[in-house]
Amino acid sequence: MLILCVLNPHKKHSQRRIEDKLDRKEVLGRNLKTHQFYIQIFMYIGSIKKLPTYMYNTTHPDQKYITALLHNDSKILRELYQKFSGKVVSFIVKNNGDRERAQDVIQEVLVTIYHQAKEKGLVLTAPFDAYFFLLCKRKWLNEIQKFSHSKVTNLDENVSIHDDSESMVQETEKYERQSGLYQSMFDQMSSACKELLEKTLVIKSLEEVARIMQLSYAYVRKKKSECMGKLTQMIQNHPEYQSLKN
Amino acid sequence: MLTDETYEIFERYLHGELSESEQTYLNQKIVDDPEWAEAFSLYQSVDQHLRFHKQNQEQTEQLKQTLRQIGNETLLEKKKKPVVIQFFNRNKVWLAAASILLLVGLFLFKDGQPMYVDFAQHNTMELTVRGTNETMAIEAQKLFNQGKYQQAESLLKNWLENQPENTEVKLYYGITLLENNHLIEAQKIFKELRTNDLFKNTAQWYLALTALKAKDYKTCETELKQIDSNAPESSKARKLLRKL
Repeated sequence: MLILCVLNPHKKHSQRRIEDKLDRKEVLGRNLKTHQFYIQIFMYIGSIKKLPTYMYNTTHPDQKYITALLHNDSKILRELYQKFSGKVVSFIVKNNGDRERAQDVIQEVLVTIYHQAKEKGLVLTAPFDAYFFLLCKRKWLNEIQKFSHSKVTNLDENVSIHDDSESMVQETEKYERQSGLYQSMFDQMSSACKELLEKTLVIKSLEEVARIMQLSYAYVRKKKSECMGKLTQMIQNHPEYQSLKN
Repeated sequence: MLTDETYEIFERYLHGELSESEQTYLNQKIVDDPEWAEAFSLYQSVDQHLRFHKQNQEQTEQLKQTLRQIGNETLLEKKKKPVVIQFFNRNKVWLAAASILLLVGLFLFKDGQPMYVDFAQHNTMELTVRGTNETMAIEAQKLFNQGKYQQAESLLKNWLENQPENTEVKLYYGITLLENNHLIEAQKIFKELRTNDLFKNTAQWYLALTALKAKDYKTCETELKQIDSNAPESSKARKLLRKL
């Protein structure tokens, strides 16, 4: 009786529901496909007509601040300072800093963003506001923790934290730490290696470097690879490298 | 195991110098040996990073300059603003009183210390040029009239050496010295000019201006008083005297 009850009417009903679901999925899938098709068409048109990138991908309109850093555009950069620096300044002033220190922190953060954007092509997927404030805030907290044990107040963010902001902040911080590590290990190298590497970094072709240094090409290439080998080993042996890897 | 040869293979890869068999060897090693894979990726990353920073140094400096300037304007000069706003909100009377005090102060300040620049208006140099050094003389006048006193000074000096009796050139040379802050030499020139009856009052006026520029207000006053009352310089002399 019970079995019948369960099997008979329900079976049909549930089967119908499953079929319905499948139907809907199919329709949904078809819709999705059509949707993707239109997106592709749109992107194609976008690429022909050179529409602004944010019209067809997830780049945030605040990308203009990144572009301004890349082009040293003082008009937009002034707007950036006027819009976003107030919060940073008041945070730093409240936490044992002053306006001058705030200015330094802001500048360092912007230069890091610039380097990351130029070297790795940074794409902003969240508002600049939260991303920038978090970077400045964490930079300042790191700085004061290094030099004192003073208590930090106002830890609550005044900005809504977007998941994208958090991951972008982590990317930028990682980039900064990596840059710092490479640079500090480079500075510790022998002066002969530094001189050779400096030359090969400025002049793209090793032939040219060899000519200037009046050495053979094979020798310069060998020396450069030895120095680079040493440098990469020094980096790998540094605890910061391991922590960056994780 | 990584050796110097390993790094040389990496380096040659960067320059596209590997033979086909070497390339296959490298590809295989990267797949098989995680140590190679890690070192290879780090090698490329370090090379790219250092190259980027080295080549981008100048642009980074330019950006830093822009940011420093904007930072100074928007962050540091703001300090005074809130004080004024609070003042205004609390009591408008205080603001008014402060403005009046400021105005009075400015008035007194300006009145008490006349500025050299307010009185240093020189006639344009339009001399008839004769002799061999014609181009040099024309150039000197042009520079003087354009206010390029630094460049005009040596040319006028040269001109005066050629024609030591040309009092007009001497006057303009003196003015150039005064503008270039060579006050002692300027004073000497004007004192020489004073002995010439035609240039007496002009020289006297410029001696007063030299003293004014040196902020020696007492001497300035004495010099001004020696200007004849019917001389063309007497009206500006009286004006300056009133400010002293």
